[in-house]
Amino acid sequence: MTTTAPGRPALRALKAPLPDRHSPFRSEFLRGLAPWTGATVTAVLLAAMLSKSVQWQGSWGGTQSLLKSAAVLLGGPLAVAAGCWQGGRERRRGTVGLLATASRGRPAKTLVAVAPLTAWVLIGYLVALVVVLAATLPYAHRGRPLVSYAVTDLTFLVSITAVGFVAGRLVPWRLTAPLLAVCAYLGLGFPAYLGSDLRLLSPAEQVDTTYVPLWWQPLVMSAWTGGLAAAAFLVYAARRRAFAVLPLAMAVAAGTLIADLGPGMWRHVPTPGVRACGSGETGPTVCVDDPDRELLPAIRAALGGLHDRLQEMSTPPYTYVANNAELGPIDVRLPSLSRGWNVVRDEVVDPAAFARETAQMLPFFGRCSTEKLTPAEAERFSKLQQTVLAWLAPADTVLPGTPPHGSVRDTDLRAPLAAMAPAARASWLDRYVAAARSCDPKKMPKL
Amino acid sequence: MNTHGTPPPPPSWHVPPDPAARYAAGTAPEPDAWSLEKHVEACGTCAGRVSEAVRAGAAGPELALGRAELLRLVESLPGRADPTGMARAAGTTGAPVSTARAPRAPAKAGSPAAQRRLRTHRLLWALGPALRLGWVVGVLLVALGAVLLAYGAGQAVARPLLLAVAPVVPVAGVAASYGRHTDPLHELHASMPGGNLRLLLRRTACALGLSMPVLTAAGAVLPAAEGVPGAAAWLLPGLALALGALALGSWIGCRRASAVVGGGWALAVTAPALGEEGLPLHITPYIDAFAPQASWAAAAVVCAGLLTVRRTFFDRMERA
Amino acid sequence: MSSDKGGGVTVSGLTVRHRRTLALDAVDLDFAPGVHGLLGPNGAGKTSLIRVLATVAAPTAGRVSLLGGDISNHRERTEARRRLGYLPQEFGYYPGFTVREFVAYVAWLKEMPAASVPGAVERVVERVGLADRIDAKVKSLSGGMIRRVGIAQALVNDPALLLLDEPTAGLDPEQRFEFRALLRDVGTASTVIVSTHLVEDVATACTEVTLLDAGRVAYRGTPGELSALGDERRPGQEADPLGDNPIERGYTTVLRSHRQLLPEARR
Repeated sequence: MTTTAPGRPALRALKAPLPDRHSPFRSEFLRGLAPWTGATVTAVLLAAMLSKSVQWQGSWGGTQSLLKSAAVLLGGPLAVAAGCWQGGRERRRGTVGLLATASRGRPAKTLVAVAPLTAWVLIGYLVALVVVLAATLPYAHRGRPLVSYAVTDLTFLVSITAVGFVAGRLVPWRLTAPLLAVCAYLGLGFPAYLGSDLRLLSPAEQVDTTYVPLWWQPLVMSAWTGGLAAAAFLVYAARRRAFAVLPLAMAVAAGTLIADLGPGMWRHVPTPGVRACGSGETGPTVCVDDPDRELLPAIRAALGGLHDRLQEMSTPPYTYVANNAELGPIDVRLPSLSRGWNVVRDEVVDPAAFARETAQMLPFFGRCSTEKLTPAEAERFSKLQQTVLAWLAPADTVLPGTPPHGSVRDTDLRAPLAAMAPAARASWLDRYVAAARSCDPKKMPKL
Repeated sequence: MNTHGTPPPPPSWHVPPDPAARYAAGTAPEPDAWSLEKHVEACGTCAGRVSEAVRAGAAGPELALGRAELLRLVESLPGRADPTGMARAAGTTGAPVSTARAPRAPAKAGSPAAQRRLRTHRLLWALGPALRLGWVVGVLLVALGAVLLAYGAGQAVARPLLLAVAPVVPVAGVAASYGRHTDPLHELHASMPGGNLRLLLRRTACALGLSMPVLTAAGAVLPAAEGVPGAAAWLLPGLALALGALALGSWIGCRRASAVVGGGWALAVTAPALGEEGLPLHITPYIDAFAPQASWAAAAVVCAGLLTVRRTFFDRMERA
Repeated sequence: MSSDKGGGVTVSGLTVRHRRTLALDAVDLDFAPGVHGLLGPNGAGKTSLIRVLATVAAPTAGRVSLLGGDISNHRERTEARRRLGYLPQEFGYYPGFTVREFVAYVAWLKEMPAASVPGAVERVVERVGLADRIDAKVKSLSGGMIRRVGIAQALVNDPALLLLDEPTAGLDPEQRFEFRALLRDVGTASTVIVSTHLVEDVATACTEVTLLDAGRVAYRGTPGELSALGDERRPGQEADPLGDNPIERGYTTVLRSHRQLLPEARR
């Protein structure tokens, strides 16, 4: 029988790839734990994303950062537990002696056991990624998905599976897998409680979605997670353990860089400045950033009532602008549009609340300080303010009252104004606006 | 030795007391000793007399002590049907039983001490895998880990985390209680009469009984935080999850059912809080107010009912 | 005496200590091509010897030379492992794999050239009589069939040294008969070492028998000689029933006399 020359068996194992049914890689890929792990990873990630779909649909950054959280904090423990279970397979099945008598080197044997499982974990993540990106596509109007998020997540998943595998090979305890899962969950989620830049060492940490990572951020992050895992793997599997120093040094360097630079690895993305405005014969004029223009109809509809009531007064018609724009004399700032809060998939979630928040930004509200007023005057001031707000933007909320009034309902508040005749009301409101602009309590109209 | 024919005639000569005493003292001349030994092989009465002489001699006390020790050892062996019979049989050579007392009186079979020991053994056998060292270590690790986490790191997260992990611990105990993969005696148990369900419930009760005090105590020791439920809030969810794992296990096997229940709980506790600051932990709404606790209690009752309905599963024969 | 498969197995001064007990005590043996039977009571050191020859366990002292290479040298050990086949007493397997996949996996582990693997797998599975179940999952097979899968994986690389620890456990008589024929067939060109309790395996298939007792060699010879020993009648003694058949009688005789020779202190 001819023998193959001793060479680099691990590399040859990768290059000699019969994809037919006699290949060990194929066998490991199709049988056992690996396919189930992939399916579970996809199911868990999709379940988590689905339960929070209002927060990310419509924003690429939101989608990818939430998927990153899910992949690291939910997928990570799952991957490490699966790796640990796979590592303990030889001990559980009793094949230790059989493998010891094989001539294949340890790197090749270990690789054939861990690589298919890792491949399935990556496939699970990629399937979930494709699904959520497809779900965001119809609603996302600004930006585009970034490769760097996917790269960081994928290298993280590979690393943690390898670490779990080494732990499973070394520790003979059956409950190692769930214990490692809990430790991974804690270890990855805990840095969020650290105030300093050290928290960015955990791959789960996010920055605001108005920041995008610089091109080398995924490389540094991969060097950090991948270096640690490669060092652990080489210490276990390689013939010459000293090789593990190399990835360890790389990981330490990357970690130091991360802790040092901190948020410096991201850059702020300024909003484009291009605005889209919607106006018409009836209804308010609303200007938002160009990518949000799909929201214009919904916002205009939400502010319609407010606009009509303001027209009764002698104030000029206001233009409602997005909250990061420069304000002109007749501009009113809109509340910031955040997905999952007041805006979901191109709809305004609660139009009445939206109108109320916008009304609070009208130029004649909240301008006066109450320092020079007597307590009775200040109280009257605020009660009048609440009454006018309740009239302009009715919302069926129970307002938290200032003592000693207690909570009052909106309808009760605006009842006096509603009872007035339109002309009387208009003049009353004009007097109120003048008083509010001059901050003079003596000019306050009486109800 | 005579192997064929009629038995030999009884000897006409017997050992007088004097040579017997000399033999016992070891001072008899060789030919007399040989002839005495040859005679004693055939004559039982003389054997008894020589034994008496030996007991009365210098070696007597030591022999008595040795025999008492031997008797005590024999009587303390388990399963001895007739402990006193041996003592009686020892005296059939005609010599009186030695009056030297054994150092310790053994418990006779049927006495209260032996019965108590047997009951403890039976209890431990029934508990079996539930007290498996690995699971016990796991419970202690969870308790210890929670305490360490609280005092070494953030306090806001330790108690909620303990309350989130604690209900899964009895479920793991259920997984370890029954089934082909965890019980080494599974094959035997499956062929026994007497209800596998009872065995399973005993083991689950033991798992619950061990984990509940330990984990509740650990939770009580942790510093209380604002808006975090009390230490005992996990008890009803833990009970309901354990019963649910048992009930589900009657369909798909205890190990898989435990994995499904444990995994489902883990997902329900982490997923809704994803994306927020810090660790995603969403435990408070599940256990804090009266309504959730009442629904856990109702779920426990429902699972117990399911288990009662499916109680014959565990005694059924396996199908291919 | 080299066959076309390379030198046989030589063991000199082999000592294996397992925790506190001495499993093998300075054993000297050599195995030429052929079928060798290892007999002995439980705890005699048979499994330890097989494990050392399979290069699974390292000896505490002594020298082992397998197929022309010293196993303490890494390169020669790897070379010997490529030509080795081993069936452990507790044969572990991956239940989800099919028979074909499992045997192919072992073939890969033994660094067989990739092109020859499919043919070798099918040949060896047919040789053990599982050709109709080659694509069934191992967990669906009965105990005896799983044992045959173990025999198949030991034979897949056409080994020059075949080590079998209790290979016939779980096989029915017909399968054992076929197995013995297989052994004789393999033993014409390779060295086969079979450790077993079943004496009829030894009687019919082995060309040489080694009896181990308490870590030492109690007897070496052919099965015929061992049976002849058992039938010798010692004068003046009633025939104690030593065994049901000649080999068992010889086995018991040898063990008894070996134990008498041992100093009391060793027991």
